Amino acid sequence: MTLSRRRFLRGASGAALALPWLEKLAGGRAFAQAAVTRPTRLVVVAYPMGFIHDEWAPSAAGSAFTLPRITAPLEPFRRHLLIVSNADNKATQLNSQHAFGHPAKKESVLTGTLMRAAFGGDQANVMANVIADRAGSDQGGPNNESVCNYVGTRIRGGRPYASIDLAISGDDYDRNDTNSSFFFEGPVTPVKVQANPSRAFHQFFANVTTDQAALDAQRRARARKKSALDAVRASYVELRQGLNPQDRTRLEDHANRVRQLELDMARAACARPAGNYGTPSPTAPYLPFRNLSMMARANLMVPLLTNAMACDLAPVGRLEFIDQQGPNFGVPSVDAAQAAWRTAPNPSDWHGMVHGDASPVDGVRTRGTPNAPYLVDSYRFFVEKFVDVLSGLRSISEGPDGRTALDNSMVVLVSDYGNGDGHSSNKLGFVLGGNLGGARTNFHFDARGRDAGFYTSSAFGSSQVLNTIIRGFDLRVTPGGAPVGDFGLQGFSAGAGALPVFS
Amino acid sequence: MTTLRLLTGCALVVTLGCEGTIAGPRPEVIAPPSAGGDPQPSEPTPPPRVEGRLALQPIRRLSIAQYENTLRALFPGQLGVDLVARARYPGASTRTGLAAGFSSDADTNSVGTSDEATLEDNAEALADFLLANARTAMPALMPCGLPAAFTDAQVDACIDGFITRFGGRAFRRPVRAAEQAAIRRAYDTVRLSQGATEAWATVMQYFLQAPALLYRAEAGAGATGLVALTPHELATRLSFLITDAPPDAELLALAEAGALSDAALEAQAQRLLARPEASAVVSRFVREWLRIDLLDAVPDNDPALPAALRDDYRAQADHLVRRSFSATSGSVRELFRVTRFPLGPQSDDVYGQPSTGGATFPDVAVPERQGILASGPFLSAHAPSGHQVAILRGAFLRKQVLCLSLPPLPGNIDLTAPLDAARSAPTARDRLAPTMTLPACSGCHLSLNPLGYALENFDAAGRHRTTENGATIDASGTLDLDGTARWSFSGPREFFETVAASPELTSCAARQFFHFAHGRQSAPEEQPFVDDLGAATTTSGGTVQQLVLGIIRSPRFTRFLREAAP
Repeated sequence: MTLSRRRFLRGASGAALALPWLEKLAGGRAFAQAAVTRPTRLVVVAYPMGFIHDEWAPSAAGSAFTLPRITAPLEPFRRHLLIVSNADNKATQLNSQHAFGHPAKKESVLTGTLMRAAFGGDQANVMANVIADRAGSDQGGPNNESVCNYVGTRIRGGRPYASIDLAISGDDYDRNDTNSSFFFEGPVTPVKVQANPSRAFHQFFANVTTDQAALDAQRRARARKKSALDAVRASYVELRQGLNPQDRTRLEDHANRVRQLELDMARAACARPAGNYGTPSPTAPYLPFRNLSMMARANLMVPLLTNAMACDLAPVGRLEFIDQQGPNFGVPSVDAAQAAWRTAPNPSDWHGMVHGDASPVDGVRTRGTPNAPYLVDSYRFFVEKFVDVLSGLRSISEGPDGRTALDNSMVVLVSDYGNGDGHSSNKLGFVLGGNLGGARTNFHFDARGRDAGFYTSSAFGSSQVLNTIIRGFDLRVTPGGAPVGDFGLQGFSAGAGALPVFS
Repeated sequence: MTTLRLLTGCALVVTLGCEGTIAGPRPEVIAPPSAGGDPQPSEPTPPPRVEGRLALQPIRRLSIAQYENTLRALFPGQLGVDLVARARYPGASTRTGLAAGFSSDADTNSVGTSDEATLEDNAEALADFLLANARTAMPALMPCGLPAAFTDAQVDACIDGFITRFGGRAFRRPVRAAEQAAIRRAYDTVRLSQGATEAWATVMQYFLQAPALLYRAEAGAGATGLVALTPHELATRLSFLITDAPPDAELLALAEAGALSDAALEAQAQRLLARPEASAVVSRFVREWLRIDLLDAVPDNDPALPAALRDDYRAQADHLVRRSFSATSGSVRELFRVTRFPLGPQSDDVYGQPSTGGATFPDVAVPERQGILASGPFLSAHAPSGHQVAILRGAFLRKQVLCLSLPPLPGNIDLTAPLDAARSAPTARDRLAPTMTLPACSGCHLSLNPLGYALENFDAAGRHRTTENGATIDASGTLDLDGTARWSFSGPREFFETVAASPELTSCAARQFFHFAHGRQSAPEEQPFVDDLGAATTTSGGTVQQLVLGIIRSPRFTRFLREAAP
């Protein structure tokens, strides 16, 4: 496969582009509604085990908030962010019951439904029992796929891959393809996430040329393409004169898609990520990655993800931190604490820290007043890696007027839990960054609703966050048709519609 | 054979208004849909006898066939052949796009996100090819006698004339000033950095995806209400209707001279109908009307229909149509009455005939078959594995071939038990018996299944059979047609003749041709015209000339409705 720009620069959601640019060209009157530029790609970063609520949630709803210790790294990007706190994952709640354990929380947070039965039975916290409890009786809700899959299918265009799916492990093993716990293609069909940076690099970038002559030819072809598209776009303005309104709409829709191609054209040339990803050989097909911290792996995986997005290899990028037990963080305070916990008489690890266990070293619980600094640092690590993704996308120029890859991307940070101490899927937190398709930014939306206490049911569910993502992409049932309806398992009171964050 | 007509509504529609040798619908007066005001007469005479209203005619993007024919017209000789071979133009596919229409439908050819990318890809790839062959392509295409060893300056001197001349043919009308300026800007921009040849390739890249080439946009000559097409637009409509190609030089010249009178339009129609491209269009009409192209949707590994037989059938269908229903001879009725079938090297055995030797598809008399409904291509295209073929065939015949109503499928009937009880019966008629007897089903199936049973003497490959699982097949049937007639037939031959002789068939052919010609289904307000066209088709048996002239004589062919700007 030769990955020319023509092949992979595929704009998406062109229909979503508003029309005023066309009006402007035509010298016509302005449209009443302001233009909303939609994102053309979706990036999701998922990590396990929630957070410490008071160390994560912004200080106040609205725009006048401060960020506590865990989310403080987001500060430089706050004008690009919508932070949602306290959204209950209502798909995991049936009457007074809550779904058990980690798997149900993970699989439901981005699907808005349960892939497998998760109620009743022996309450054992293992997937096998969750499945066995009500095997076959609840094979997923109406969606059966993650919101990123749902969006990606609809905005893919001609991109060569459906998604870039990466994983970051934190143990000593050289892992390759792994079943995702967060991302699903269908009921009981998890996405495969690639945990080996070398394999991922060669899978996605082996055919991206570095040859100067080829790059020069690409540059010349792009120049011709841009000039031709400029003329095509001008011709649409000319051609629509005198047509019926329906026909004008049809042509404008087509012209918007041309415009999207032009925006793609304006992007920087696709580049391979820097870093040592290894060169395959007959005897060593891929570089093994063992005994590496999550930090070291992230330093390879995050550039790989952002460059792949900038190259428009896929409409969706996913990065999952797959180790929820005792990963090697590469964060000194966390690693030192874990080392001490592991060698203590009643050894435990990060998982125990998250659940608020008493330290086997000094008997002090990790949660409380104050929270253990190393636990805060561990959660802060995931936020920092999310910021790395934002930074990576912002560093890539994509077109005129200083637009960057971040301006064309919606980037989401999500976890399975809220407070991680009790396996609770209530009071979840989401960070939506980049281009949110018209949703408010520099904004903290507290989903508890006015006057709702922390322990009462939230006014807004996490599936409404998923609907917010979908609305940001302006997905339609059919081209030009009605907006996509609710995403999520309605039978579980998942919540209808998007959050009220669109003006 | 017994054909009991209970009511004779359609059959007795008077067609006394038709004169001359070509039957067509009566002259009509088109009224704009807005209330009030006098309708604008489209013809000075004769006085109106049928009133109709004009539905909006949506803008149409070229189909794949039309785009490829455009390439052939714009790039004569081998260059056109090479470009068509490389073209990857997005259009309707049999699998997904033709569920309810024709490949040239306006809705079928809407542009999605990936389609636009494909359009751009296509234009770029073709322009790349032209660039790689610029030394021969440019002198062949450009005016001014450009030599093979041309210079940039020579191209510069020629480019404006080229844009005007080539653009006029590509757009099927003169290039507008704003378009000319935009194209010239594209040329100049690339000329500065890459030279004249690549700048010329950029112009070609533009033309190959230019909206005025892709779309048949009709601006007309008028403000709002009923607007007459411009001569160029009229020429384009006529040419694409009959040949799936842009107007040729003669037609364009008439348009440019403003000489496309009604008489000239008919004369041009007759001229175009005599061209071989016209019969290809007729063949496409029939294949898409009867969905014979569903052969393309048969899985490659279908044991009942090997790939070689499928190829044979595609060719057979084309030969069959061209020989019995071409642009210059034959009729719809003849197509449904033909008893000699063009057999290829794979199909002669299926038809139970000695080897024909193949390639020329000689016509062979096949006793047990009559008409295209009895042809292997039709029968196998409507026999998907894993389905109740008799019901599917019956429903298709009813809805698509006879244009009779088809009730919506009920969503809440559980037939598992009764069908299971009949599952071991040897023949389809027996297996589907519960659908004919259960009250919840029989209301529809009594008027549906018999049409399918009539074809049960032909299996999924189109092979004739008299038994199924050792039991004799009963292909006789009786059914009511929308309360207008009762059909009764003892077997397939009587059934085929019943269909061929029925006014339902010819009326339906007219309705389908209207859809084909206008790229949309007829609107309710156009029913009087469609009824008249159907009646005329019944009288004539449905010749292509009658159908085409019936369409182009209508004011809706020369005018369109323009709504006031919002």
